[in-house]
This record gives sequence, structure tokens and C-alpha cells, in this order.
Amino acid sequence: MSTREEKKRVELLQGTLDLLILRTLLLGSAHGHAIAKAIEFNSDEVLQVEQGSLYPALHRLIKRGWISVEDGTSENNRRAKFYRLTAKGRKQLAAETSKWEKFSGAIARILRPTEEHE
Amino acid sequence: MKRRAKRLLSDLDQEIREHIELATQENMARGMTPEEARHAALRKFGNVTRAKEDAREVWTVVWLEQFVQDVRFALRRLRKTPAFTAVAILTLAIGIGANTTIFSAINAVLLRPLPYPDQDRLVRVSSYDPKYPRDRGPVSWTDVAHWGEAKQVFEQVEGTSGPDMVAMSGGGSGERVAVLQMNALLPTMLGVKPFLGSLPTDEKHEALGFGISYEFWQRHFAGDPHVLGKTIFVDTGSGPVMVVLAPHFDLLETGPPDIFMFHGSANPAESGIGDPRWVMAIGKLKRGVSVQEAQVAMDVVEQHLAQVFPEEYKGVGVRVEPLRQGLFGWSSDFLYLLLAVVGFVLLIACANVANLLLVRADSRRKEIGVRVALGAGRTRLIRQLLTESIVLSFAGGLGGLLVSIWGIKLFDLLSPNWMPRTANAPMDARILLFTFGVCILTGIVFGLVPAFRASRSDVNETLRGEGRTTGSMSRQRTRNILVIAEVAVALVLLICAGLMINTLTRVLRTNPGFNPNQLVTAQVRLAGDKYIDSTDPDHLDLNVIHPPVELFCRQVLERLQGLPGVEAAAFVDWLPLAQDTQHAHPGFRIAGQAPLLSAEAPTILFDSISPGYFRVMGIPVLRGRGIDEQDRESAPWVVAINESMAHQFWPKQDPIGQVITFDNSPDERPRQIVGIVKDVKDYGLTRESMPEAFVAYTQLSARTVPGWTEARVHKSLVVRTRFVSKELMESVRKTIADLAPDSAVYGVTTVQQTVSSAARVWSFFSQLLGIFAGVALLLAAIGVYGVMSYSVSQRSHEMGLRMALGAQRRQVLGLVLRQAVILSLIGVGIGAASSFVLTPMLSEFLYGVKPHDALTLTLVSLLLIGVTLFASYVPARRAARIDPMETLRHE
Repeated sequence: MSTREEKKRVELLQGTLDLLILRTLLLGSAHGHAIAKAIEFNSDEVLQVEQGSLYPALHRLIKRGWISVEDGTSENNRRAKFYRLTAKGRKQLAAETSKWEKFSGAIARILRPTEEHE
Repeated sequence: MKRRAKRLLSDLDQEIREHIELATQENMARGMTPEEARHAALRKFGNVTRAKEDAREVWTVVWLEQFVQDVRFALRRLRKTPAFTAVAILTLAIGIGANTTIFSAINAVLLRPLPYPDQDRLVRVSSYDPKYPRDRGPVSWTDVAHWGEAKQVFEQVEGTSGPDMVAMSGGGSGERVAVLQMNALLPTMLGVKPFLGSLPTDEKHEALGFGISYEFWQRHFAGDPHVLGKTIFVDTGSGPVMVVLAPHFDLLETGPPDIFMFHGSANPAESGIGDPRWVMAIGKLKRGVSVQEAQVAMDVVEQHLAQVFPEEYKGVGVRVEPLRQGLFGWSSDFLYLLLAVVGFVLLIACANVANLLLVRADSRRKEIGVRVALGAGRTRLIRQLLTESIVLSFAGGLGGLLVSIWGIKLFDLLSPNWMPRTANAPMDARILLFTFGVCILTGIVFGLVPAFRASRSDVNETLRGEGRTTGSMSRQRTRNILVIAEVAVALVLLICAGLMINTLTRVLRTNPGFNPNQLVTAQVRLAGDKYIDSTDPDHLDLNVIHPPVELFCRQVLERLQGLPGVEAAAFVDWLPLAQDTQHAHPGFRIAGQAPLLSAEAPTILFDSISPGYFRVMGIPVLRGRGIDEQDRESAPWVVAINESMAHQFWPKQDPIGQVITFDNSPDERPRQIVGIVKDVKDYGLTRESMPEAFVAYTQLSARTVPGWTEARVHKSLVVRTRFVSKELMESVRKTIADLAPDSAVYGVTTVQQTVSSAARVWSFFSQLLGIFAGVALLLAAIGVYGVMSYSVSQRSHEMGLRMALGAQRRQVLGLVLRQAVILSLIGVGIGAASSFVLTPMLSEFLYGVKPHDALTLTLVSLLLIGVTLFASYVPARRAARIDPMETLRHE
């Protein structure tokens, strides 16, 4: 069955999903579906978020105080939750981004050392 | 959980619905039909339940909440299968209970802090022969004084003897009491306070007076508040009670002693030559000094002493160790061996419960399959199943604690009296922690394999109801492995028990050198000034034995021989194999040879006997003659010796006719050796006999050195009877007590009983190992039964087909039994191989049997195979009774 594969993908995303959410919210507050869509869209649909896992991640970020939540209305004119980046979250995003860049740069150098030399 | 979290979670449903709604709308905008659009949205969202659960987990101390949930779930499930639960809990209670029992003993003897205020600074200082570095040798009062001089590491060092059983007289009837001789400052050093009165202050070299224990005060004086100043008469001394010590002062933990004789310290300036080594030294370290530092310092002290007093200290090692270890360290080998044994029992119990769980997991496969299909994660499932095992093992642990309460009592009952008492030690945090740890470990050990197997079930197959055969094949293999392991472990334990029982029977069958049948014995310790005093004005260091002793001896024989049912009576100073003997060990000089130096003086046993002794005891006179009526005081003094003495001192000559002189009295006369008797076992059934000399009680001098005094006023009577009865034993006791009122008459029993007591250590080991091996065997049998029945129930279809195709019932029976035999043979093979590695650890407890005893191995293997066959016979017969028609109809 596919349970095993799914699991792999979630694990792959686990660490980075928080970062992507924070990055998305930098542009302004949004509700869950919009965040999911934005992540997909901005990554040219390479990153497929399992949308269900978005919500635990949002809760996690709220708990850490990196985002806040407020009530609002959706496009359908229904009650919806809007998530917003806090000052603390902004700082965290900056720190995480630079860390991520260092990390991905290092991985890239290891994986393609020859290109570096050329 | 905070309110914010609660709101977030309660709104989550709505939020997700809205999310999917929006996604559906988008999909429809792309041109999908409403149904397609909704499916696509759902697919993209993934597992809704898990999303909700995960979100919930963010806000909770998840493992705790889940744990509580799992525990509830487990309890519910366990309640639903009461039979399974009861068997599992009972099995575990036995396994864990055995472990808690033995650990409690270890805790009581070896781990628990001693009940003294500065117990972490208390040490035992002992000397040892470097040839036997594990020994803790006795020391002399002078040693104690010498070591106490090492002020750089010790605050003080004090000495104490072990308990001596001596007679106490006065007040109409005698009593045997346990007396400790100790330095007067020892109780204070330990922090033991007087309950009444005060401890004597230390005066050099003096006998300082008596103290009694609180328990003795209660028992003997009924808590009399005016006990101080009352005179006690014991042994060779008497004096007023100066102090009643605080309750529970029980240094050696074999039960509080009765009486304390306080000594002043010895003079450290003396050489101590000839000062016998028979006490133990206890020291208190200075604050901040470690045991290691003290050891280093004492090594230097000992080197120095060896230079100053080479005769006493050359080649003697000294050891400093924490007091508890010093007092009881000798028992650790044996106790940890027992812990290993019960560990094995628990392993078997685990295998059994694991088996039960596997069987149960099979019946739960559907349920688990459904839960996996509904999105239960594998780790979560394993955790849940493990929680169930741990709930089980904790229930077993509680049962185990109950079992251990009885177990400790039983252990105490079986253990020989020199083992520290374990039953009085309260259950403490260490025991609970140990049991807790064992429970967790046990739960994981027996739960892990079944949990993994269960969680690996294939959702599709399970839901379709397939995979019966393939799945159960590998499950059956797991179960088979468990059975093999059980059989192997049980075999190892059975071999241990077998070797021990073998040892016991050999010990019991050891010829003690006399015939214990139909013999009644009674011990008497004559007490009072009438018999003995130390008032020779010229020789204060000598004791004088008065004629009433001899008179008593003659009269008691006459009266005993006159009793109905008595064939003959005789006596000896100390009955062979009796406990707490205080034989005289005189040196002697052989006429015509240079006198032996006292340091090299040979140790021999010296007994005075009545003329009939050899005949009554059935000790054969090998050559010459025994001691008889003609050996009166006025006749030439003679001695009979045993074989060992003859071989040791006259290896090439004929000892008969030789003349020897003992040194236990200045008035000893030269004695001619008139006969050689066969050796008897004196100090233990498994020990070599010591050289021994026998003289007539009529040919003894009045004045004796103190070391010989106790033997002179102690007699072990032996009475050969036509028929041993309670009444006869009572009339023997009464006869003696009438003749010597005020003296202590004790130990009225059969000689056979004395011999069995001497085998008590081995019966203790055999009983314990026998019990544990029996439990192991029972558990293994249950395990085999369980696996075979399950295997039969799984294969009933196959069996039915076989029979439909013409197989005879007998063949089906054979098929099942063959499987059982193969399993147990493999188990026996593995067990036998492991026993080759493991049983040598037992060798120090064995006697007359090698750790790899082929006969024991064969016998217990046969026993085990027989039991497994028996256990599988019932399921096998069930298989043979399968109705082939039934099977075909199901086809």
C-alpha cells in the first residue's frame, strides 16, 4: 500500500514545512488553504504539501509564538482562521533562512563538487 | 490544555471542512465534475483524522495522554479475556516474585545501609593469607590495638568476637546464651546508645563487666527496671549487669546476641605472640578518609609491623573494606548465583507470556488490520501493544510483591542459621525500584516480539481474510523458537538443581564414621562454683575443675543406663558434627623428640570420653584397644588416636606404644598410645577429618589452661536406644537436669538429626534450586502445551485431510508428538551446550560431583523430554480425534 510512501514524503517535509509557512506569511496574513496553495504555486508545484499536515504545523508555530491567529471571513463568506506572522516569527524566519541557505549550499557543494571548480 | 488551544482544536473541524470546500470549488472551476472535484480535494488533503490527531498532539504532553488512553484500552481488553489475563498474570507473578524475593535477600544482606549513624565511615579490617586473598581471616585483640594506632586514617578500631553459645546459670535452671565479647568502646563507636545504665569506660587490658541486649532483657528479665547490678553467671565469669543496650543492636544480623562481655583494649606495645586470632576488627575512618586511602595506609602499617614483629605479621595481608561488605561479602557469590537462577525462571515466564500474546495476536489480526486501514501508525500500534504488555507485567509485578512476602519468609525458614536474617528487613525503595525495573523490562521482553509481529500485518490480506497459512507459518516459527528457548533454559536450571541434589545425597550418604541410628544425644554444660573456679592463688591464669564434674559424669551414665529402653550410654566432650563446639586444641610433645615450637604446634582435637563411647557410637577400633574401664586415675594414663593422627605424626612407624604429653595443663602426665580408631567427621561432612586424641575422663588433671576449660565442663551424652521416642528423649533430659540443676541442658535430639543439620547448607541450596527448577519445568511444560495445542488447532484442517486420505490416528498422533520431540531435543541440545559454560560457576557449591556430570545431564534431559512429551500428548490426542468428515464438509 501507499502508506509507507506517504510517510516518507511527510518526513521529507517535516523540517522545512515550518519555514515555508513562515515565508508565505511574510507577504501578509492568510488562511490554511491559501497558505497551501501559495506554497505549491511559489515552488512551481514541485513541492507537494500534503495539505493535512499543514494544520498541525500551524498549531506548532502558534504554540511557539511565531504566528498568531485571528478570525476572519473566507472567499465563501464563511468564518475562517487567518494566520499572521509575529515579530518573533519574523526573526525566526530570518535565522532559519540563513541557516537553510548555509545548509543547502553545503549540500550542493558536496553533491556537485566539480561544478564548483569549473 | 489552555483555552486558546481548545478553541483552535474545536474550530479545526470547521477549518478543514472549509479548506476542502475551497479546494473543491477550485477544482470545479478547472472543469471537474463536483464529484471528481471533491475526491481530488480529499486526496490532496490526505488523512483528515491524522491531521486532527497531529494537531492535537502539538498541544498535549502527548505520550502521557496517549499512555493513559492506552492503559485504559489495555485494561478494557484484558478484562475481556479473563482466562488469558489470569494465566499471564499468575505466570509473571511467580517469575517476578522469585526475583523480588532473591533481590530482597540481597538487599537485606548486602545493599541496605547499616543502621549506624556514621555507617559510611565504618569498615572491617581483616587479615588474610595472601594465598587465599578472598578470605577474611580472624584477628587478635593485639591486632586490633596495633591497627587502632593508625590515627592518620582511623578515629578508632575496636574488636568483637562472634557469638559464642555458653551456659548461663542461676535462678534455678540453666540456659544457653549467645555471648559476644567486645571492646567496651565498640557500641559507642557504632553509635549504639545504652538503654539503661552506662557503658564502661575503657581501661587497658581489663575485663570490664557485662551488658545485656534489650531483647535478652525483655526475654530473660521480663524488662525488669531494676536489672542493673544483678549478677549474671556465665561460663567462667560472673559479674553485675552494667548496661542494657538499645533495641535491635544486632551487628551480625543473625539475631541479637544476649550478653556482651566488655573488654579493655589490648596493649599495642606488645608483640601479641601467641594471642589467638579469633575476633574481628571494626574501624571508623576519620572524616574525609576514603576506604582506598585507609587501605594504602594500612598496607604501610602492616609492613612496619612485619618488621617489628616478624613472627606475627610476616606474610599476612591486611584488608580494609566497607563494613557491610566486610561482614557479609562472603555470601555475595551465592546470592548473585541465585539471582541469576531466578532471572532464568523469569525468562521462561516471559517466553510463556509472549507465546500467549502471539496466540492472542492471531485472533486480533482482523482488529489490528482494521485499525491500520483507518490510519493507525505502526509505532503508535507497537506502543499500544507494548503498553498492554507493560500493564500485564505490572499486574504481575504486584502479584510478585505478594509472592515475595511469602518467598522471603520461606527463604528465611530454609536458610541456615549463620545466614543473616532477611525477613526482618522492611520492604524499601530499593526493592520497589528493582521490582519496577523488572516489570518494565519484563513487559518489553515478552511484549516486543508479539507487538512487532502484530503491527506488521498486511492490511489488504487481513481485511480480505486471507493470509492464514503464510502468516501463521512464520508465527509458528516464532513460537517454536520460544519453546526451544524455554526448554533450553529449563534444562540449565534442572541441571543446576540436579547437581545440587546429587551433592546433597552424596553429603548425606557420606559415612560420618559412626552409626547415627537409634542414638539420642543431649548436651550439658555444667555451671557453678561447685564444678569450676579460677581461684588457684598461685596460678591466676589456670582454672580448676572440681571433683563433682567427674562425679556427675559417673552418675549420669549410671542413671541413663538404668532408663527403660536404653541399651548403653556414653559421652564425649563435643559430639562430632555438632555446631558451636569449643574443642580444646592442645599442642603435644612426642617422647624422645624435640618439643614442637608453639607457632608450629600441630592442631589436633582433644576429647575426653567415657569408656563405652566408641562402642555406643559404633566407631571401630582399628588396632590396639579403645578406652575402657581399667583406665582409672591411678592406672597409667593412656590415649587413643584416630587414623589421621597416626598418619600425620607416625607416617612410617607404629604409633602404638609411643608416649606423648599434651600441654593443656601443667599437671598433664605422659600418655601411652594404646589404640587407633577410625576417623569420624568432626567439623563437616565434606571436610577431611582432623587428627584427634581420645582420653578417659577419669585420667584428667584438675588444673587446666583457660582454652581447655569449656571442654572440661561440657559433655555431649550419647544414648543408644532400642526405639527412639519423644518420651525417652524427655526422660534423658530430665535425668540430666535432675543431677545438675542450675546447669544448661540443651540440644536433646537424635544424632541422626545432628548429622542432617550438618548437611543443612546443601539442603538449603538443593531446596532453593529444586523449587526454582520445578517452577521452570512447570512453566516450560505449560509453554509446550500452549504451543502444541495452538499448532494443532491451526493444522486441524491439514490433519483432517490427512486422515481423509487414509492416515491412521496413530500416525497423526505421532506427527504431533514428533514435532514436540524435535523441539525439545533442539532445546535440550542448546541447554546442554550452555550448561557446559554455566555449571562450572556452581562448582564451589558441589561435593563429590563434577559440574559436567553426564548422569545428571542424561537424567534431567530425559525428564525434560518426558515432560514435554506429556505436555504435548493432550493436544496430540485432540489432533488424532479430528473427524475427517467434518473437515471435508468445510472444504
